[in-house]
Amino acid sequence: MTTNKYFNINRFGNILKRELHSNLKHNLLIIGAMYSIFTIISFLVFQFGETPTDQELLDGFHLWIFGVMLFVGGVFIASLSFIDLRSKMKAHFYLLIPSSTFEKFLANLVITLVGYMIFMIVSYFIYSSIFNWVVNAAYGIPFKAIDFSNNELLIAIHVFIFVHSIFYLGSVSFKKSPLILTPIATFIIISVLMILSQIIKKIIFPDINIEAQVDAANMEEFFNFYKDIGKVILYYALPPIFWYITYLKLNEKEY
Amino acid sequence: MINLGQLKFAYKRKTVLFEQLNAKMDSGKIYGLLGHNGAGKTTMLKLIAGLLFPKSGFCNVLGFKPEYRNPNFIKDIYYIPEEFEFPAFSIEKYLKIHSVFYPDFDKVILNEILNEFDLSYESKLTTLSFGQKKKFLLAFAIATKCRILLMDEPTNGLDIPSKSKLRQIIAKYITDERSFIISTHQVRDLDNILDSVIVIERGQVIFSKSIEEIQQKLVFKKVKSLDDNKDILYSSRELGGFNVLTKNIHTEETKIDLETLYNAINTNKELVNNAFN
Repeated sequence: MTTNKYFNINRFGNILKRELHSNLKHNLLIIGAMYSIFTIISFLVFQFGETPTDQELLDGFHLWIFGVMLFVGGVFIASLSFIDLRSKMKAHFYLLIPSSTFEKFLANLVITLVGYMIFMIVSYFIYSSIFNWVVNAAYGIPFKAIDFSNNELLIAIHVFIFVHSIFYLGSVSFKKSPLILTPIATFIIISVLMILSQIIKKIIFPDINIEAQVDAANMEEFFNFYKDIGKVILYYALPPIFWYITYLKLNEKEY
Repeated sequence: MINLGQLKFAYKRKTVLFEQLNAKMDSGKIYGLLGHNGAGKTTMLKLIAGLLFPKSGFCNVLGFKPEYRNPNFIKDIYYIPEEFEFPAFSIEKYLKIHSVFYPDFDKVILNEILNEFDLSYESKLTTLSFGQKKKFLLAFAIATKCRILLMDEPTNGLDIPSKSKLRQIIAKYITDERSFIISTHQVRDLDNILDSVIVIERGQVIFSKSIEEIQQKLVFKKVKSLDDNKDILYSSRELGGFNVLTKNIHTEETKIDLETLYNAINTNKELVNNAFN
């Protein structure tokens, strides 16, 4: 029986199951390590450091910790996507799994982005509730429960999706150490783009000094306008572009 | 079933491996792909499987372009590489996760072959020896009922009884709808099971004949001394005499000695090929 060559729900379910099984151990290890390190450091600080009393800290503590964990763990897990392709002994098996490249791409994206975020939200909610109860009972510190509808957290999730898309692309672009090479390559690309934009500005508008020509009020309006455009690009345009490049790179993989 | 024409292939930063590779393979046959190390056997298998992409020319397998890795094509082809690594699953878990990708997967065939090789479902794949892993992979590959099974040096790492079992299994599970392509440089391991022999040298198919044709046109003999027989295409000394390859003038029927044939082709391919004209 011939099925759609790009997407078939049964095949997608099968590849999703396969990816979950294959990556479950190291993904859980990463998340477990983050929770363990944070727990140990926190209790050492509470035991030997000063008791926190600042209300802002007590209210926003879990938001910050959740944000840091979401990014750190997410970057590790995104970099470990398509890990079989980095092994000469396993790559052929992966490439010859009867599933389309799109299904393989999507399965990893669902696991490392959507699945990871849902898992982190649920697990952090449970963890922070237990953490608050223990810390309050042992040290009398009343940390506020995490509020997942907080606007700052929603911004952080948007930024995380963008960062994830970069590391997801890095996972198919680098055969070795994508976790290290992706930020290095990103830094180089951004630096080159900034230098190029300065050069182009100097060539096209050699005599214009924007700062000198725009007064303070207009300047704020000017920056707010570009900030909004920047947000749209960052949140909604760049991640799909990076995902598309990831898909193309996956399609071109040879072994 | 498989049609390669004017195929050009080069690895990055290396000289061209295949300049104009042409090959045709039909269903229902077991092909032996012979050649020196580095001749291009593995590369040819990978091009057929869609693991490598040709620079030019055409590669048509089961009506598909392998490089597109269409899932409808991949489910009908299985590649057993020379070296590989399994995930840390038990055989049972591996089957549960991977067999679902193959709609015609046959558990009865799998059990038969696993029993033949004395492998149990509870074994963890990573604890198996290299030979046992190879046996499991062969069992899995045959149970997928794929139409093309590509095997790269399948006898490497197998003990002598297992090599014999492998030959029996290959002969048992070939059907009119499927093809087995076996690449090896250990030609003796494939004795008696091949339907066709393809020899590659420096990226070119230098010999491609069916066993029937070889039997009709060539005679393999062991003689005590070499007389002035002008029909001798190749001879090699061995204990107590010579292995001789001659033209089959008197329509004799002799057992094919693959090693002698392979050595003869390597020594003078034109002479051997001319015997078929």
